[in-house]
Amino acid sequence: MASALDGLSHKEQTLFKSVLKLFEIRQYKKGLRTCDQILAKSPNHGETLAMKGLFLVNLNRAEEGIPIAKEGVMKSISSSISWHVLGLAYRADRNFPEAIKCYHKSIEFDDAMLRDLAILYSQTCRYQELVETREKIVEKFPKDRMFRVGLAVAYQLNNQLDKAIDTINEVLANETWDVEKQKAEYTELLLYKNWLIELTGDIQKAYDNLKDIKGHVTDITSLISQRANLLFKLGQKEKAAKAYEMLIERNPDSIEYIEKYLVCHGLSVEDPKSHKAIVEVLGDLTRRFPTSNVLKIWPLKLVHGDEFRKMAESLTISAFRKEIPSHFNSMKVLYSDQQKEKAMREVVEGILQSLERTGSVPNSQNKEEPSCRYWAEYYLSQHYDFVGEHDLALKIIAGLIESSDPSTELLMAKAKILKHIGNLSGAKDVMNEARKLDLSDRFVNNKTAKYMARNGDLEDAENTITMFVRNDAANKLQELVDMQCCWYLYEVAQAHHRQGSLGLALKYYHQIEKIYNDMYDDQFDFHLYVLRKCTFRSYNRLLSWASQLFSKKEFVAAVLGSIECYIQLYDSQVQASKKKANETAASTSTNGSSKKSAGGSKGKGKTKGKSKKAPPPAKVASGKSTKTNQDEDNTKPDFTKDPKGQKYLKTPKPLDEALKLLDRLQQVSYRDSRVLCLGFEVYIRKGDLENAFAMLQRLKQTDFNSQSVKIYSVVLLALISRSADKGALQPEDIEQVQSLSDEFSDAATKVLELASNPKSAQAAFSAIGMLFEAESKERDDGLLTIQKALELDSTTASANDALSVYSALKSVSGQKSEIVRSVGDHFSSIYSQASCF
Amino acid sequence: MQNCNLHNLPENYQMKYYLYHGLSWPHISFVAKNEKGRVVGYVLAKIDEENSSDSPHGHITSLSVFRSYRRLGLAKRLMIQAERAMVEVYGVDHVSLHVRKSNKAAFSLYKNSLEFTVDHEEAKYYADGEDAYAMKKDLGSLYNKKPVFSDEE
Repeated sequence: MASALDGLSHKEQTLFKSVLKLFEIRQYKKGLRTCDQILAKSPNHGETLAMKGLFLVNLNRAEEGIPIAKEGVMKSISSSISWHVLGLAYRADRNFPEAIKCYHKSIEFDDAMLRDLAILYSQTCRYQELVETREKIVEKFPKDRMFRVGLAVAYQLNNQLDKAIDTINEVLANETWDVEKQKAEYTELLLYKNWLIELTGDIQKAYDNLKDIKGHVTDITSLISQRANLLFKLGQKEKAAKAYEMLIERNPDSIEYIEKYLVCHGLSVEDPKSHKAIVEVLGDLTRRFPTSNVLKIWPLKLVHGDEFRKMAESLTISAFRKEIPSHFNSMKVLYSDQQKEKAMREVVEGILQSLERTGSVPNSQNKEEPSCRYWAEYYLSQHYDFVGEHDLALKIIAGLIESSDPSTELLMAKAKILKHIGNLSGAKDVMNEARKLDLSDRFVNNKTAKYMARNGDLEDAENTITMFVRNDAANKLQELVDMQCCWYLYEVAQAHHRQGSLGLALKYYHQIEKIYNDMYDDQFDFHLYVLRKCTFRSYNRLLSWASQLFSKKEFVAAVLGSIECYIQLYDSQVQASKKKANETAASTSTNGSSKKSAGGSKGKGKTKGKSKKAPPPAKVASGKSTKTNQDEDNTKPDFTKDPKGQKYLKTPKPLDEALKLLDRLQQVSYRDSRVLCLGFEVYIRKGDLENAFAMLQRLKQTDFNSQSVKIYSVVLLALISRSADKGALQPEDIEQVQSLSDEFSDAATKVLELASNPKSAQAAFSAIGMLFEAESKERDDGLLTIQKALELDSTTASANDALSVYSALKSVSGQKSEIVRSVGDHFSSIYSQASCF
Repeated sequence: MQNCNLHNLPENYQMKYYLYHGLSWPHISFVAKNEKGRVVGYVLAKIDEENSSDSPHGHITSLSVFRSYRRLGLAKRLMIQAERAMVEVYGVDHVSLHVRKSNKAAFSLYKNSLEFTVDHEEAKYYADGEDAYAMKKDLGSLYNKKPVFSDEE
């Protein structure tokens, strides 16, 4: 520390100490001001400059802060503190590789940073270096248990299992454990070691070890389950089965336990020949554990014909008697078998007929409560909805609502049917009625908000969902964002996207991405925390959860949404700039006034024609300055700022943003056909034929709809023949594209020939968009021809198929074009009950 | 679990809080999943170690089940799993929880089905100003049986 204060007056030394303190207590703004105070007198004090940079980064001004922190380091190049501070600045900016480098430099001058470095290596999964660092720490603090345990975990992560086990043995041998006070930690460490032995593959040794530690382990469930697992691996099926039995007794609803129990008996669900035996074993278990839901449903998957009918009927009758609303949800997994679907309809209709005639269910003399009939009709309505007979479903549910008191459940079911037939407006109204019947239930409140968003009523949706946000929250929308309510953000993003509000759609999509980044970063504090708790088995689960995080459906969908928006933004910028160029050419009046008039329109591209050049620097600067202003007031990004998403509309290079996102997705789901399609669309627009071709090749390898592949090939070929520059494409590549698109005559004709399947509609519309000039007659004719070729009518396609075709058309043709209107009218006449066109 | 909580309850938490539970007391929180693997109910629990003089006790941070999966007894089953693990792993002698005074269904589940008793009332416990019942259940006599591996040689 002394060296950091060199060259400062006494007063400044005191100020610098307070700077460090202010950082600790997160008073970033005040810290920044104090830094400036010191720098006014000593402008070349490296450590203070570095701190100033760090404060700026923490105030969301990384672009300014990082260079200043770097400058600070340059001015005090051998200061461990400066390097440390720059490392912290990089860490706060999520640039972990650079942070690691800085920590290394800091350690050259002072090894106090080793612990922080170890955490960064954990966070970035650099396990080889983690081991080295942890070894150094243990050398320095040989008596510290936490650090030694940390070294063991590092060995495990780096696949040095024997060393990990040895290290834990050392800890266990040297430590005097207060077993009473620390039994949870002790138990965890013992079970962790046992797991490590199992990982080495020496199952017998693991099993022997388990017997040794048994008396010290308080986590009984883990103990039994590890015993069952090891016995099974040792081939001692009978003993393993007994252990699984104990587990089933503890939790008779665990599919995992039951499945393994079956396997111990030599029975596999995959093998139809063992189904009969499985049903018997399950029946036996059901008698012993009559409360289990899983055990009751499971046999229905394995039996057929009359046997199925009999079992399903008795289960269904008891569900109706018990008034279980989720019975249909439990049964619908069986509907993938058409025979069973049909049988279920007959069973429930049979029950209803019998109730009508005699007041009893089939084969029974007892009079049933009226509720039995109520739940039977409720089931039947859900059944018909599920199998696509919406009118019948609607009739039943309407009758039920009329004859009994309207309940939240019935109205929710009705709303769902209306949603399925495309009547989004009606669905939302009915869901709202359901909500009003139970204002204290957030579940139905959320459904209502969702349905409102689906219908495009975003203000209503927000007013509804925020009813359940805590009253003391300063801003309710911000509170939802802070609570990471991703499903809602996604619904709103999609609604904006459908309405063509690209700025807002991007704002919401990006917020989801940010939440996922935050969740990933959440690991950070636990790398250290877990060393105290010793819960390393859970820690390993945390690490694998984090490594899967960015391949989760919700994240991928949000990023795909962003990419689509950027593509559309680019198209509209190109279109606007073309239009402007035409106007400028037409009018010979002053340049100045025409520039002003274009200022307000959205997506104002400033470059001519197909150029991908950056807009003038003035625009970049203005975008930047709004960002800075916004962040100055707040240390935390504020979601309520920029309520129209202007920041995103002003994106200077939308395709580059799209590429960055694409890159992220390709790291996690590189075989996802949606990613490849959008990749093709981006590269084609960038004129990068080579990468577009690469996407096409990979698309061909997925099981993706082959018609779309052909359509994209046609487009690529057309653009190749138009372009003088073939890039790095070889003649044989072009030949391959040619063979993909079959005989090639005229690109447009070919696309029109190929477009007869709703699945390839998006590719076909987009192809026409790429082949013809915007607002040209050819483009409109092409789009219309495709739409006709699809021949959607209510007997072959659902309202939802039509809606996706309609959305694809809108994204190419623009929200309000003549053709969108006429296709919309056409669809509303076919889907007479739908409100979405 | 976070998604399920956001759909059902007004009291929500950031992901980090769930991770914190998972790494601190991994044995005592449970989820119920449907056939598709979607979480439809959960119990999130912790161990209070605040008073070192007192023996530790369990606390239910949050419990809920999707409306569409009620009446199956899921909440009760989740609670039983949590209670048992608390006793076995942490040796707690009682478990506590808070419930909104207006939430009759939950109150009845705790009181009648799970045999909790009202310990005291806490005025304005919730952010919106609603009062809570602080409820408690003695676990001393429950789940004390150690497993017997009778077939071990």
